[in-house]
Amino acid sequence: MVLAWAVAFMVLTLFEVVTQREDWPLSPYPMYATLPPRVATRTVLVGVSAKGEFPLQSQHTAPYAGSRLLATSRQLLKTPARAREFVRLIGERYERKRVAKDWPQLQAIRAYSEEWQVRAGLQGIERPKRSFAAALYIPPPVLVGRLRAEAAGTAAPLAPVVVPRGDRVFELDARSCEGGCAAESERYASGGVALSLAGQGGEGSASLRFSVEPGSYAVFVRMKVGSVSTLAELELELDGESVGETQGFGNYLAALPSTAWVWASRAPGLRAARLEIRDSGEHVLTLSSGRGVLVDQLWLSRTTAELPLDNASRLP
Amino acid sequence: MKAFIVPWLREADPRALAVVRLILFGYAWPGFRFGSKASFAEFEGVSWRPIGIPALLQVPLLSPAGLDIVGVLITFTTGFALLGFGYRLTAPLAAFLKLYASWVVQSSGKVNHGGLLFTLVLFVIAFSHAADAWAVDAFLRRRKGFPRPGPSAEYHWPVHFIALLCVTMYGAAGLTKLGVSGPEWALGDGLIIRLISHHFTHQPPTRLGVWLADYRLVCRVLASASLCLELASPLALWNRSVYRTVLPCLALLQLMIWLTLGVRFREMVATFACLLPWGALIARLDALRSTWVARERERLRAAT
Repeated sequence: MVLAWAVAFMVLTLFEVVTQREDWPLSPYPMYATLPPRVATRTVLVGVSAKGEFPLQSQHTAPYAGSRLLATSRQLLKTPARAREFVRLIGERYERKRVAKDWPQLQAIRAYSEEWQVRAGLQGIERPKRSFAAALYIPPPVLVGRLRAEAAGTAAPLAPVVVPRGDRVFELDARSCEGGCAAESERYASGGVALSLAGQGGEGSASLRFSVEPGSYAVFVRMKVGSVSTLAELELELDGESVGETQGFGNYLAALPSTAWVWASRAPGLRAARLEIRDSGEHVLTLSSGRGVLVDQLWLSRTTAELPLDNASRLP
Repeated sequence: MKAFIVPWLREADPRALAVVRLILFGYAWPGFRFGSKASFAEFEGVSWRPIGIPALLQVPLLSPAGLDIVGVLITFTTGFALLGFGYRLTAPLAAFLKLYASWVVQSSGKVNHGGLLFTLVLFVIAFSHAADAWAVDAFLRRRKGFPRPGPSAEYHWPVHFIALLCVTMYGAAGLTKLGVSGPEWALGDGLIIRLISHHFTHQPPTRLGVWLADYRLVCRVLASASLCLELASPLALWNRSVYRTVLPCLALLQLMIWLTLGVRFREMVATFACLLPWGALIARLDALRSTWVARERERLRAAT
């Protein structure tokens, strides 16, 4: 009997090897069977809070951690809907433990790929080629609740939040309007007034003249769409030139499907779009859209590149 | 054929098998930490996808509460099996529960091949007479007047079966390397690249791999030797001398993988520990004790 089991195990394992199947708990044991590439790659996952990126530890993402988390992330990136659900579950589990463990609020997980040319003597080990691989946004539960209440009209307007020193906030009012733009009264807009940028197939734009200290600024716009079927997209130009990394600027609906006010920049989960201001003279920032989008404030930040966790308007 | 069967019939001391029981269930005992698997149930249909034979058999994923209960049962059944209490029931139950818990984890995106063998090894020890010595069951039997069991093949076949699982795994790994990459796996620069690249992506405990990578010929010889060792390892089941050479070499290979690549197949430490010559060690200790007892008796007789 024992011998029969032993021989059966050997024969079945040989079958797995020949067919290269993996019928757990049987296996062809393919560990390190392939020839390694001359480029060593590693995926690094980081958490994102409102203050920026922080290293993700296994306790943050339990039960997924280490190589299991990386392997799962790689598989899930091929199926965005499942990836979103996975990150939502990780986020929920994180949130349940967050307060007790004094962890920062997690609003996204980002993956970076690090690459090295494999060279003798570990040359270049300190300088991997690091590139952004993917980001998965985790909608903050409090924000989601707030957006639902606002969309239903049951929320009281929030008090404005003062931005840190060095940041600038600009109100978008009727003076900023150009073609296809109109000022509208809006209950949850800053000061009760918002600019409506076009709609019905027309393009609308608003321009803002400003001067700030030279430097690099993350740019956020407070905006709202009339319907979740609208493609919420804005175009951003600085001094008549399209800002390079702002493709899909303001497109937040996939992550936060709601007809309420949000702070938007590049797609949620990504670092905010940046404006490089080279001199302290006057600049013109133009926002335009053909999608029927409402906007009320523009926030240039030197202190954060991440979306805020709330949707309150800002005060300088 | 005879050379394959004879080793299964060798006799061994029941205490040698008891040591194997203590090693395996000692390693398998999770302590009083429950519920570590329950969280995987939340990911069903997202990142949790059933794999392997249990998936074919449509084994269900239990609810988080059900997995919590499995966790508690694993603690108690492996604990009892470790102590050799109610072994005929608790040990097989522990092996099945560990298999189920392992399947829950392995279905979550990545298969851990090192742990795979250990799961199977537990079944071998669970269905053996490993609680006939140094166990609560053995103690209770002796109190009922049963004699101490003597050496028997019942106490040897489980260790030989574990060796079979071990060499089959290495043999399969060798064949897979040959099938996937061909002789290039051993004769090319694959080992050199791997020895270096693991320092970029893992944390090997030594720089031995970086040093070895400077010697192309040495690396090719090492890669060829390790591939030949893996391919030849099943021969250990037919020849005792080969067994005594191959098994230590496989353990050394595993140690080198950790030292140079920083990959620890932790469960393999417990598996290799089972294959140490515990019977010979126990016989040596018995002989030392007999000598000491005889000497003490002689001394007492001389004193009186």
